[in-house]
Amino acid sequence: MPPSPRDALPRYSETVEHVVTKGAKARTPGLWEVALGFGRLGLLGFGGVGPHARHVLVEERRWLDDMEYADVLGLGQPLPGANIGNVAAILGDRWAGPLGAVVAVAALNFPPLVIAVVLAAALTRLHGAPLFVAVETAVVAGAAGLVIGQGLRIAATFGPHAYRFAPAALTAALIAVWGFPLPLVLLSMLGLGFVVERRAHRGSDGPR
Amino acid sequence: MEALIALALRFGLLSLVAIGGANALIPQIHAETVTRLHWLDDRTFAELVAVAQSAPGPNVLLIPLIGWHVAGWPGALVALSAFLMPSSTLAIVVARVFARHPDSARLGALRGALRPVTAGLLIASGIVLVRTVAAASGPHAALVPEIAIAAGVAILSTRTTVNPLWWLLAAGAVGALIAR
Repeated sequence: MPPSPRDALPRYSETVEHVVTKGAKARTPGLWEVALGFGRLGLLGFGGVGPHARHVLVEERRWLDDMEYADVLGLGQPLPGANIGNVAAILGDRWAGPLGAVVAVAALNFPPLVIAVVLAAALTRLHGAPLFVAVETAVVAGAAGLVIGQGLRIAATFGPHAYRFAPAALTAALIAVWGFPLPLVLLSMLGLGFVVERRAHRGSDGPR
Repeated sequence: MEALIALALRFGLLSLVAIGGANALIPQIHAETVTRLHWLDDRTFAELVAVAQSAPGPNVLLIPLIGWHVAGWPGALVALSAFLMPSSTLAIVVARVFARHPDSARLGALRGALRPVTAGLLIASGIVLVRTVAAASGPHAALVPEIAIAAGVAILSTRTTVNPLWWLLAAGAVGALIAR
């Protein structure tokens, strides 16, 4: 077998410090296996499926090795849409064509949706009970904290690159304080982000 | 039928600006569905966010839950597919192009510019959520406990690797204690 061209290229995933499970891979999954695998992933993930995706795809099913997973996640994350939803679409398409993509995305989302709708319908019966309102208000505040925590985790990866905090803080203020529409904020702040990144990397060894 | 078309259009358009996933989109979804279109009120919006966060599965569930509130099961399915289809198609196209011409340098630069924006969007989402739940509790609601719970969970959840569901349960328990 000729060496794959992918192996010749430096990949950002090579910085990921995981034990590489190369050589232990299972064969390409079929449509039914894709449905079962992503269906299981959807039902596992409390508070988002992100943390569970590597476990199911790499360790449990062995459909990908760690580097391939990091590559797919690296594609799915910066694109718009649900992060793991994008990963499901890309992998479903790679393994079983466009139908595979539809099956993977549907299997990931549909079973949890049934649970969520049943839960939401059950909660409407509790409306008006003062204790329920108090608990629910607190749970939403907790959910707000989790989402802020997600943002803080990303900010923690800025490291010594203090210049990245400016577009982050400005983005938060434009949306939450001044209520600017999202498309406008995205265009201006991504533009600012690019300028800031390029300036910071000028003369150095390029973007990392 | 009109409601289904409106859902498809709204969430189909939002799909392509959903940088950072569904959670980063909360302020925009709130502005459109609650403030502008009056599909639901602040309390219902907050409740659906709580359900989406505490049920298993992707955070994207908020979107079909709003669809369900507006138009039942057909609404849920239309909202979910409208939101997922444009972005999934884009992801597949980009992945196919990248499989032929891998360009990790350009992707690295894009990721570099996106990370600060995503962080900012998520923090804004949390702030808007706290404000929404306060608005739902009435004009004279004390914001102090909500801000304290949100800040506490934000800090603690970034310093630990506990399943996030526990933080929601802990927040609910604190809410029950305050209410007594």
